[in-house]
Amino acid sequence: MRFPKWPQGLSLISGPVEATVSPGPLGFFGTDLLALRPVLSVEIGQRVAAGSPLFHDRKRPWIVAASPVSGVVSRLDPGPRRSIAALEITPEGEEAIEFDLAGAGTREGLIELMIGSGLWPFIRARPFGKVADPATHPEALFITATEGFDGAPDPDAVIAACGDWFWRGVRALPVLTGGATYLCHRPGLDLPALPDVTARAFAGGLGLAGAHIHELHPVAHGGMVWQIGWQEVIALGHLLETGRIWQQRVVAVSGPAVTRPGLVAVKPGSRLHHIADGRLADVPLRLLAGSRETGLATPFLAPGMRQVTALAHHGASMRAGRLHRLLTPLAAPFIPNFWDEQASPPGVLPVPLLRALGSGDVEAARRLGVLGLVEEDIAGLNAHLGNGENGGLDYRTLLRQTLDELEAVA
Amino acid sequence: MRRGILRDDLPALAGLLVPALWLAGQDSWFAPRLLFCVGLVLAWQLVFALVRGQGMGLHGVVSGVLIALFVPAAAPFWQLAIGISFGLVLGEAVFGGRGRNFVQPVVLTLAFLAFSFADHSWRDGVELPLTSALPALGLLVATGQVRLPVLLGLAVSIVALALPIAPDLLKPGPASGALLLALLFLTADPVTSGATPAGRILCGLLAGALMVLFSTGGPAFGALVFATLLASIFTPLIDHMVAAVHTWLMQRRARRLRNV
Repeated sequence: MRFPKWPQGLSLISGPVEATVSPGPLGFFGTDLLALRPVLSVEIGQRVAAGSPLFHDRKRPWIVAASPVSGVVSRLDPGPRRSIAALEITPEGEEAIEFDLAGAGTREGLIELMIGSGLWPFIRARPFGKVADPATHPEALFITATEGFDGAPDPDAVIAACGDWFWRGVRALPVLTGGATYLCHRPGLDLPALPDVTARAFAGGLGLAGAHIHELHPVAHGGMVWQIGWQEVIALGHLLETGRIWQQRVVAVSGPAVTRPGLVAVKPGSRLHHIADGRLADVPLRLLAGSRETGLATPFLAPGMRQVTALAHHGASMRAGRLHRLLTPLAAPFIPNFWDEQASPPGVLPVPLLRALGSGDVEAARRLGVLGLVEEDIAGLNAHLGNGENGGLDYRTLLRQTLDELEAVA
Repeated sequence: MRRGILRDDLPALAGLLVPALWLAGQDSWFAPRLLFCVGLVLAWQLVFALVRGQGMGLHGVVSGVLIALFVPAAAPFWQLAIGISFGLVLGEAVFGGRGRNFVQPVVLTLAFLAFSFADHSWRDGVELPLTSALPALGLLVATGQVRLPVLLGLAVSIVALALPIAPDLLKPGPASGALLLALLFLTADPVTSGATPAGRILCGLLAGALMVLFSTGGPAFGALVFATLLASIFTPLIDHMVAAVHTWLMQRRARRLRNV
């Protein structure tokens, strides 16, 4: 319980990037990508090079997962309904696939290159927040070089450390769209000359792609845009510069149970405990891939995650009694409160929207602008309302159900 | 600051502490009445929580204290019991508890009592100094429960209408503390006073205008209770219209920004 604070700027993590090597296998889960029906390209014991495909989706062949390292597939567990429950790669050797960059100047060539190197699933389309269908043409493309949650890595610091790769990626992306390409960055970023790209600075609280899209090209009432995060743009630039995939991601380690917050360069799929090694306080804690608001309790760094949050773990003994159960309303309705509504995404009326989500009124939610939102946009609001714990509703799940229903009738 | 008892229920109770202590000094039956009201409210909430297999919040304590504060000292307990049972059950519990209701249960209780039992002065309000309600004002605004747009709408319409119609309303009277408490806890209740920024202003304007209108024919406290009841019935309609206008504005804005 903290005193009410006025929403202020974010506290991002910057400073030198430490390289760590994760001992042991890297892990990937089939559930990381939404509703995936994988078709495997590898089998257990097979050697893979960095950038070689591991599996692709049956219905959407443009969703390809590529191995981030060279090594041996050391574990491959089947899951229910032909999914993959666990896939682990033990790093070994230095082989990497050399991609053919000849066609990267055209839309088809760049799409083929990004699909082949496993970068395509990081382009998300709005509405609905699913992996973009390369056959469609977005009205605009948003490159997000800002962060929306406390404890995320400072994009400016990492972009500066990665040299020219980020700008190489930014210059390559406008061929994907016939419309505008927006680079949304923090104020004060040093911009080189960027033809075909419109750069916009967003301060403080407007760090999420949803806020930028609402500001520049809203899709809540028609239209479709694509979005891509800044680390994937660095990865694309690296690929275009060297012909090999970028085998790293820069991750911020932060949170209340971290003694030494900082930036770490790790391989995607590293164990969270290895990433945070040597930085944790000696207390019971839990590690999340993602921020306090969006975090997933997975053992491995999920694709697209840029931060690891360590929260102090409080025992459940206080909360298990009959009296507590009696005093905690189940599926508690949203009681409007000024401080909660400050965390609302821009352009929506938070109370009617949350009531529509809570009661499953899909049509009202559509009128109130739910098509412009994905889970991360209401994660801050949801965290204020208890993140689905302690009797409250989990509005992120409700939002996803609402979007799925709207997509089914679209 | 997160949702919970510490933010939502305890500050409201703390705001009622000064008026309750003041009344306890004036009226020797206040303490038993307080226990009776709170006990009955919690009993009804417990019944519904057990029947539904759900938990209940602690906000019923605030409702009970408010009822005990606002009824006249001579109110018989059997009348209170009928009033509370009607107001709490039909105003809140049947809809699924606080947050799903559309009228304030305390308002419904007071309105029911004033309609049903004419032998007591339910509409006069208790005598409370204005200063005793100031802690509640600070606490409720600071914890985000009372919204400034509602208070603004109320102030504007009360002052603008009372000057020509009922100038006596603006003079501080013996019941002005009770009036301010009722404005804060009943008229500006976060659940029933509008869910959209513009809807809150309109709701405040409507409640204030109705209060001035009703106060020409009776005491100000009773006028406020009935004005709040009527305004809260219209509030969902106001919110619906505000949301429709918001959708229309957003669609127009989207067309302009997307150039279609």
